[in-house]
Amino acid sequence: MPEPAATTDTEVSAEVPESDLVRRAREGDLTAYDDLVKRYQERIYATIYHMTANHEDANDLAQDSFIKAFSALKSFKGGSSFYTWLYRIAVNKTINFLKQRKNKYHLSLNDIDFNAENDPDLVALISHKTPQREAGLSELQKKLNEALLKLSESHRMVVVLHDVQGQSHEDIAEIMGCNIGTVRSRLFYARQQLQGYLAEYVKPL
Amino acid sequence: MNESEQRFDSLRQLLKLKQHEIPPPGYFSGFSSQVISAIQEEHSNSSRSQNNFSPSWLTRFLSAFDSRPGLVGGLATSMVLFLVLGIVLADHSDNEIAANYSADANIQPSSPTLASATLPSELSSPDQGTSGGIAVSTNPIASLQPASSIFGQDNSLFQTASYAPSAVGH
Repeated sequence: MPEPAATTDTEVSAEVPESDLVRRAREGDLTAYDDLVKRYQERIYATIYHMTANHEDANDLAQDSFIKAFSALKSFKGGSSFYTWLYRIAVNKTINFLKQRKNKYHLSLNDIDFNAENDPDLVALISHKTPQREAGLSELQKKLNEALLKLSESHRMVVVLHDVQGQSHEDIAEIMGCNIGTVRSRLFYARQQLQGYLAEYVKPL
Repeated sequence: MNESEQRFDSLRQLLKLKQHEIPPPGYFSGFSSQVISAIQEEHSNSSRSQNNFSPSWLTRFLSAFDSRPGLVGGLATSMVLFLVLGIVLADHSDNEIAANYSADANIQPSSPTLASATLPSELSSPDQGTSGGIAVSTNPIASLQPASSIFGQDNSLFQTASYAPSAVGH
Protein backbone atom coordinates (compact mmCIF):
# COMPACT_ATOMS: atom_id res chain seq x y z
CA MET A 1 0.00 0.00 0.00
CA PRO A 2 1.42 3.39 -0.84
CA GLU A 3 2.14 5.67 2.05
CA PRO A 4 -0.83 7.95 2.64
CA ALA A 5 -0.12 11.51 1.77
CA ALA A 6 -0.69 14.05 4.49
CA THR A 7 -4.03 15.76 4.43
CA THR A 8 -3.81 19.28 3.15
CA ASP A 9 -6.22 22.15 3.34
CA THR A 10 -6.81 21.97 -0.37
CA GLU A 11 -10.52 22.03 -0.99
CA VAL A 12 -11.85 19.14 -2.97
CA SER A 13 -14.54 20.40 -5.24
CA ALA A 14 -17.97 18.87 -4.92
CA GLU A 15 -18.00 18.49 -8.68
CA VAL A 16 -15.05 16.13 -8.70
CA PRO A 17 -16.32 12.79 -10.01
CA GLU A 18 -16.43 9.96 -7.52
CA SER A 19 -14.30 7.75 -9.75
CA ASP A 20 -11.56 10.38 -9.77
CA LEU A 21 -11.61 10.62 -5.99
CA VAL A 22 -11.50 6.86 -5.68
CA ARG A 23 -8.54 6.62 -8.06
CA ARG A 24 -6.64 9.27 -6.10
CA ALA A 25 -7.51 7.63 -2.77
CA ARG A 26 -6.20 4.32 -4.10
CA GLU A 27 -2.90 6.07 -4.77
CA GLY A 28 -2.79 7.14 -1.13
CA ASP A 29 -4.24 10.64 -1.43
CA LEU A 30 -5.91 11.17 1.93
CA THR A 31 -7.35 14.48 0.84
CA ALA A 32 -9.39 12.71 -1.79
CA TYR A 33 -10.42 10.06 0.69
CA ASP A 34 -11.40 12.75 3.18
CA ASP A 35 -13.80 14.06 0.57
CA LEU A 36 -15.25 10.59 0.02
CA VAL A 37 -15.78 10.22 3.77
CA LYS A 38 -17.58 13.54 3.89
CA ARG A 39 -19.84 12.51 1.04
CA TYR A 40 -21.05 9.31 2.68
CA GLN A 41 -20.49 9.69 6.41
CA GLU A 42 -24.06 10.63 7.26
CA ARG A 43 -25.67 7.85 5.27
CA ILE A 44 -23.26 5.21 6.54
CA TYR A 45 -23.68 6.40 10.10
CA ALA A 46 -27.48 6.45 9.78
CA THR A 47 -27.63 2.91 8.40
CA ILE A 48 -25.49 1.56 11.21
CA TYR A 49 -27.32 3.60 13.80
CA HIS A 50 -30.73 2.27 12.70
CA MET A 51 -29.31 -1.24 12.92
CA THR A 52 -27.72 -0.92 16.33
CA ALA A 53 -30.01 1.65 17.97
CA ASN A 54 -26.91 2.83 19.77
CA HIS A 55 -25.20 6.10 19.03
CA GLU A 56 -21.72 5.16 20.29
CA ASP A 57 -21.67 1.83 18.49
CA ALA A 58 -22.79 3.50 15.30
CA ASN A 59 -20.01 6.04 15.55
CA ASP A 60 -17.33 3.40 16.15
CA LEU A 61 -18.59 1.10 13.43
CA ALA A 62 -18.90 3.89 10.90
CA GLN A 63 -15.32 4.94 11.54
CA ASP A 64 -14.11 1.35 11.36
CA SER A 65 -15.95 0.91 8.08
CA PHE A 66 -14.23 3.89 6.49
CA ILE A 67 -10.84 2.78 7.78
CA LYS A 68 -11.39 -0.73 6.51
CA ALA A 69 -12.57 0.62 3.16
CA PHE A 70 -9.40 2.66 2.76
CA SER A 71 -7.15 -0.30 3.48
CA ALA A 72 -9.19 -2.46 1.08
CA LEU A 73 -9.33 0.09 -1.73
CA LYS A 74 -6.81 -1.95 -3.71
CA SER A 75 -9.34 -4.75 -3.94
CA PHE A 76 -12.06 -2.43 -5.22
CA LYS A 77 -12.37 -3.37 -8.86
CA GLY A 78 -14.98 -0.81 -9.78
CA GLY A 79 -17.55 -3.44 -10.75
CA SER A 80 -20.08 -1.61 -8.60
CA SER A 81 -20.16 1.97 -7.43
CA PHE A 82 -17.90 2.96 -4.58
CA TYR A 83 -21.00 3.88 -2.65
CA THR A 84 -22.44 0.35 -2.92
CA TRP A 85 -19.07 -1.21 -2.13
CA LEU A 86 -18.68 0.99 0.94
CA TYR A 87 -22.18 0.12 2.06
CA ARG A 88 -21.37 -3.56 1.77
CA ILE A 89 -18.38 -3.16 4.08
CA ALA A 90 -20.46 -1.23 6.61
CA VAL A 91 -23.29 -3.76 6.46
CA ASN A 92 -20.99 -6.75 6.95
CA LYS A 93 -19.19 -5.05 9.80
CA THR A 94 -22.48 -4.18 11.47
CA ILE A 95 -23.98 -7.63 11.10
CA ASN A 96 -20.82 -9.25 12.50
CA PHE A 97 -20.88 -6.82 15.39
CA LEU A 98 -24.53 -7.52 16.15
CA LYS A 99 -23.97 -11.28 16.09
CA GLN A 100 -21.24 -10.88 18.70
CA ARG A 101 -23.21 -8.40 20.77
CA LYS A 102 -26.31 -10.65 21.09
CA ASN A 103 -28.61 -9.53 23.87
CA LYS A 104 -26.05 -7.20 25.39
CA TYR A 105 -27.39 -4.10 23.74
CA HIS A 106 -28.84 -1.07 25.34
CA LEU A 107 -30.64 1.73 23.59
CA SER A 108 -28.68 4.92 23.18
CA LEU A 109 -30.95 6.82 20.88
CA ASN A 110 -30.38 10.09 19.12
CA ASP A 111 -32.93 12.78 19.78
CA ILE A 112 -35.75 13.20 17.36
CA ASP A 113 -35.46 16.47 15.49
CA PHE A 114 -38.02 19.21 15.63
CA ASN A 115 -39.42 18.38 12.18
CA ALA A 116 -40.84 15.10 13.46
CA GLU A 117 -43.31 16.97 15.62
CA ASN A 118 -44.63 18.69 12.53
CA ASP A 119 -44.93 15.58 10.41
CA PRO A 120 -48.70 15.13 9.93
CA ASP A 121 -48.43 11.38 9.47
CA LEU A 122 -46.53 10.92 12.71
CA VAL A 123 -48.77 13.32 14.55
CA ALA A 124 -51.77 11.34 13.41
CA LEU A 125 -50.19 8.14 14.65
CA ILE A 126 -49.64 9.37 18.17
CA SER A 127 -52.31 12.01 18.69
CA HIS A 128 -54.86 9.55 19.99
CA LYS A 129 -52.36 7.98 22.39
CA THR A 130 -51.32 10.92 24.46
CA PRO A 131 -52.10 14.60 24.59
CA GLN A 132 -48.44 15.36 25.23
CA ARG A 133 -46.99 15.14 21.76
CA GLU A 134 -43.31 15.14 22.71
CA ALA A 135 -43.71 12.37 25.24
CA GLY A 136 -45.67 10.43 22.64
CA LEU A 137 -42.92 10.71 20.07
CA SER A 138 -40.26 9.57 22.50
CA GLU A 139 -42.36 6.61 23.52
CA LEU A 140 -43.01 5.76 19.90
CA GLN A 141 -39.33 6.04 19.10
CA LYS A 142 -38.47 3.62 21.89
CA LYS A 143 -41.15 1.14 20.88
CA LEU A 144 -40.10 1.32 17.27
CA ASN A 145 -36.45 0.68 18.04
CA GLU A 146 -37.29 -2.18 20.38
CA ALA A 147 -39.45 -3.74 17.69
CA LEU A 148 -36.67 -3.40 15.11
CA LEU A 149 -34.19 -5.04 17.46
CA LYS A 150 -36.46 -8.07 17.69
CA LEU A 151 -35.92 -8.75 14.00
CA SER A 152 -32.99 -10.80 12.79
CA GLU A 153 -30.02 -8.80 11.49
CA SER A 154 -30.72 -9.54 7.84
CA HIS A 155 -34.43 -8.69 8.11
CA ARG A 156 -33.71 -5.52 10.02
CA MET A 157 -31.14 -4.48 7.46
CA VAL A 158 -33.61 -4.82 4.60
CA VAL A 159 -36.21 -2.74 6.41
CA VAL A 160 -33.68 -0.06 7.32
CA LEU A 161 -32.25 0.16 3.82
CA HIS A 162 -35.63 0.15 2.08
CA ASP A 163 -38.18 1.78 4.35
CA VAL A 164 -35.93 4.13 6.29
CA GLN A 165 -33.23 4.99 3.80
CA GLY A 166 -35.19 4.54 0.62
CA GLN A 167 -32.81 2.25 -1.23
CA SER A 168 -34.07 0.25 -4.18
CA HIS A 169 -34.47 -3.51 -4.12
CA GLU A 170 -31.67 -3.81 -6.67
CA ASP A 171 -29.22 -1.79 -4.60
CA ILE A 172 -30.10 -3.71 -1.45
CA ALA A 173 -29.55 -7.00 -3.27
CA GLU A 174 -26.12 -5.82 -4.37
CA ILE A 175 -25.20 -4.48 -0.94
CA MET A 176 -26.30 -7.62 0.86
CA GLY A 177 -25.02 -10.03 -1.76
CA CYS A 178 -28.31 -11.77 -2.42
CA ASN A 179 -30.90 -11.75 -5.19
CA ILE A 180 -33.85 -9.41 -5.48
CA GLY A 181 -36.36 -12.15 -4.66
CA THR A 182 -34.65 -12.69 -1.33
CA VAL A 183 -34.78 -8.98 -0.62
CA ARG A 184 -38.51 -8.84 -1.36
CA SER A 185 -39.33 -11.87 0.76
CA ARG A 186 -37.23 -10.60 3.67
CA LEU A 187 -38.89 -7.22 3.45
CA PHE A 188 -42.35 -8.75 3.46
CA TYR A 189 -41.58 -10.99 6.43
CA ALA A 190 -39.92 -8.17 8.39
CA ARG A 191 -42.85 -5.84 7.83
CA GLN A 192 -45.26 -8.52 8.98
CA GLN A 193 -43.28 -9.00 12.13
CA LEU A 194 -43.06 -5.28 12.82
CA GLN A 195 -46.75 -4.85 12.24
CA GLY A 196 -47.36 -7.42 14.93
CA TYR A 197 -44.96 -5.82 17.39
CA LEU A 198 -46.39 -2.34 16.79
CA ALA A 199 -50.02 -3.31 16.52
CA GLU A 200 -51.16 -0.56 18.84
CA TYR A 201 -49.74 2.07 16.51
CA VAL A 202 -50.33 0.45 13.16
CA LYS A 203 -53.73 -0.23 11.75
CA PRO A 204 -53.64 -2.88 9.04
CA LEU A 205 -55.70 -1.99 6.00
CA MET B 1 -48.04 1.06 -5.49
CA ASN B 2 -48.68 -2.65 -5.30
CA GLU B 3 -50.86 -4.48 -2.81
CA SER B 4 -47.99 -5.31 -0.48
CA GLU B 5 -46.93 -1.68 -0.26
CA GLN B 6 -50.51 -0.61 0.49
CA ARG B 7 -50.85 -3.24 3.14
CA PHE B 8 -47.88 -1.87 5.03
CA ASP B 9 -48.51 1.77 4.28
CA SER B 10 -49.25 2.60 7.89
CA LEU B 11 -46.09 0.87 9.05
CA ARG B 12 -44.01 2.71 6.48
CA GLN B 13 -45.38 5.98 7.80
CA LEU B 14 -44.37 4.92 11.26
CA LEU B 15 -40.88 4.00 10.12
CA LYS B 16 -40.47 7.53 8.82
CA LEU B 17 -39.90 8.49 12.43
CA LYS B 18 -36.50 6.83 12.16
CA GLN B 19 -35.48 9.42 9.60
CA HIS B 20 -35.87 12.08 12.27
CA GLU B 21 -33.44 10.39 14.62
CA ILE B 22 -30.32 12.35 13.88
CA PRO B 23 -27.20 13.19 15.84
CA PRO B 24 -26.81 16.71 17.21
CA PRO B 25 -25.82 19.53 14.84
CA GLY B 26 -22.11 19.67 14.12
CA TYR B 27 -21.65 16.03 14.98
CA PHE B 28 -20.04 15.20 11.64
CA SER B 29 -17.76 18.22 11.52
CA GLY B 30 -14.84 16.27 13.00
CA PHE B 31 -15.81 12.83 11.80
CA SER B 32 -13.75 12.65 8.62
CA SER B 33 -10.66 14.09 10.31
CA GLN B 34 -10.93 11.38 12.97
CA VAL B 35 -11.07 8.75 10.23
CA ILE B 36 -8.06 10.22 8.44
CA SER B 37 -6.08 10.43 11.70
CA ALA B 38 -6.88 6.81 12.46
CA ILE B 39 -5.72 5.77 8.99
CA GLN B 40 -2.45 7.68 9.38
CA GLU B 41 -1.89 6.21 12.83
CA GLU B 42 -2.62 2.71 11.61
CA HIS B 43 -0.21 3.15 8.74
CA SER B 44 2.58 4.45 10.96
CA ASN B 45 2.01 1.59 13.40
CA SER B 46 2.23 -1.00 10.65
CA SER B 47 5.41 0.64 9.29
CA ARG B 48 6.93 0.64 12.75
CA SER B 49 6.11 -2.99 13.35
CA GLN B 50 7.65 -3.91 10.00
CA ASN B 51 10.83 -1.97 10.74
CA ASN B 52 11.26 -3.19 14.30
CA PHE B 53 10.61 -6.88 14.03
CA SER B 54 12.72 -7.98 17.02
CA PRO B 55 10.96 -5.98 19.75
CA SER B 56 7.64 -6.99 18.32
CA TRP B 57 8.65 -10.66 18.33
CA LEU B 58 10.00 -10.39 21.87
CA THR B 59 6.89 -8.59 23.00
CA ARG B 60 4.65 -11.26 21.53
CA PHE B 61 6.83 -13.98 23.12
CA LEU B 62 6.64 -12.38 26.54
CA SER B 63 2.97 -11.60 26.24
CA ALA B 64 2.34 -15.31 25.66
CA PHE B 65 3.37 -15.86 29.28
CA ASP B 66 0.61 -13.56 30.45
CA SER B 67 -2.13 -15.60 28.91
CA ARG B 68 -0.52 -19.03 29.55
CA PRO B 69 1.26 -19.23 32.91
CA GLY B 70 1.92 -22.96 32.39
CA LEU B 71 4.23 -21.99 29.58
CA VAL B 72 6.59 -20.35 32.07
CA GLY B 73 6.86 -23.57 34.09
CA GLY B 74 7.39 -25.63 30.97
CA LEU B 75 10.08 -23.33 29.69
CA ALA B 76 11.85 -23.25 33.07
CA THR B 77 11.74 -27.06 33.34
CA SER B 78 13.11 -27.54 29.86
CA MET B 79 15.92 -25.06 30.55
CA VAL B 80 16.91 -26.91 33.73
CA LEU B 81 16.83 -30.25 31.91
CA PHE B 82 18.93 -28.80 29.15
CA LEU B 83 21.48 -27.53 31.67
CA VAL B 84 21.66 -30.89 33.49
CA LEU B 85 22.02 -32.69 30.18
CA GLY B 86 24.86 -30.39 29.21
CA ILE B 87 26.71 -31.03 32.48
CA VAL B 88 26.28 -34.81 32.18
CA LEU B 89 27.50 -34.84 28.61
CA ALA B 90 30.49 -32.68 29.45
CA ASP B 91 31.41 -34.93 32.36
CA HIS B 92 31.03 -38.03 30.20
CA SER B 93 33.24 -36.54 27.53
CA ASP B 94 35.98 -35.68 29.99
CA ASN B 95 35.90 -39.19 31.47
CA GLU B 96 36.39 -40.62 28.00
CA ILE B 97 39.43 -38.47 27.42
CA ALA B 98 40.83 -39.42 30.75
CA ALA B 99 40.21 -43.10 30.07
CA ASN B 100 41.94 -42.87 26.69
CA TYR B 101 44.89 -41.20 28.23
CA SER B 102 45.07 -43.78 30.97
CA ALA B 103 45.08 -46.58 28.43
CA ASP B 104 47.84 -44.90 26.48
CA ALA B 105 49.90 -44.38 29.55
CA ASN B 106 49.66 -48.07 30.38
CA ILE B 107 50.98 -49.21 26.99
CA GLN B 108 54.01 -46.92 26.95
CA PRO B 109 56.61 -49.07 28.66
CA SER B 110 58.82 -49.02 25.51
CA SER B 111 59.32 -45.31 25.84
CA PRO B 112 59.42 -44.50 29.49
CA THR B 113 61.68 -41.59 28.96
CA LEU B 114 59.24 -39.83 26.66
CA ALA B 115 56.39 -40.42 29.02
CA SER B 116 58.28 -39.22 31.97
CA ALA B 117 59.69 -36.28 30.05
CA THR B 118 56.39 -34.98 28.79
CA LEU B 119 54.00 -35.68 31.61
CA PRO B 120 54.00 -34.57 35.17
CA SER B 121 54.40 -37.29 37.66
CA GLU B 122 50.92 -37.07 39.13
CA LEU B 123 49.37 -37.70 35.70
CA SER B 124 51.61 -40.53 34.73
CA SER B 125 50.75 -42.53 37.80
CA PRO B 126 48.58 -45.61 37.08
CA ASP B 127 45.73 -44.46 39.24
CA GLN B 128 45.36 -41.06 37.59
CA GLY B 129 42.18 -42.21 35.82
CA THR B 130 40.41 -42.23 39.11
CA SER B 131 41.79 -38.95 40.23
CA GLY B 132 39.12 -36.91 38.50
CA GLY B 133 38.56 -36.23 34.81
CA ILE B 134 37.96 -32.55 35.23
CA ALA B 135 41.39 -31.97 36.66
CA VAL B 136 42.93 -33.77 33.71
CA SER B 137 41.00 -31.87 31.15
CA THR B 138 41.98 -28.49 32.51
CA ASN B 139 45.67 -29.25 32.28
CA PRO B 140 46.95 -28.35 28.82
CA ILE B 141 49.77 -30.85 29.12
CA ALA B 142 47.30 -33.65 29.71
CA SER B 143 45.69 -33.01 26.38
CA LEU B 144 48.86 -33.91 24.57
CA GLN B 145 48.54 -37.34 23.05
CA PRO B 146 51.44 -39.72 22.62
CA ALA B 147 52.32 -40.34 18.99
CA SER B 148 51.25 -43.95 19.25
CA SER B 149 47.74 -43.00 20.22
CA ILE B 150 47.48 -40.56 17.36
CA PHE B 151 48.53 -42.97 14.66
CA GLY B 152 47.34 -46.11 16.33
CA GLN B 153 50.73 -47.78 16.19
CA ASP B 154 54.26 -47.35 17.38
CA ASN B 155 56.08 -44.86 15.33
CA SER B 156 59.37 -46.37 14.32
CA LEU B 157 60.65 -43.32 12.52
CA PHE B 158 61.88 -41.65 15.58
CA GLN B 159 63.97 -43.00 18.38
CA THR B 160 63.95 -42.08 21.93
CA ALA B 161 66.92 -40.09 22.96
CA SER B 162 68.31 -39.75 26.35
CA TYR B 163 70.55 -37.13 27.61
CA ALA B 164 73.02 -37.95 30.29
CA PRO B 165 75.05 -35.05 31.44
CA SER B 166 78.61 -36.08 31.75
CA ALA B 167 81.32 -34.40 33.60
CA VAL B 168 83.71 -33.02 31.06
CA GLY B 169 86.85 -32.05 32.53
CA HIS B 170 88.16 -29.23 30.48
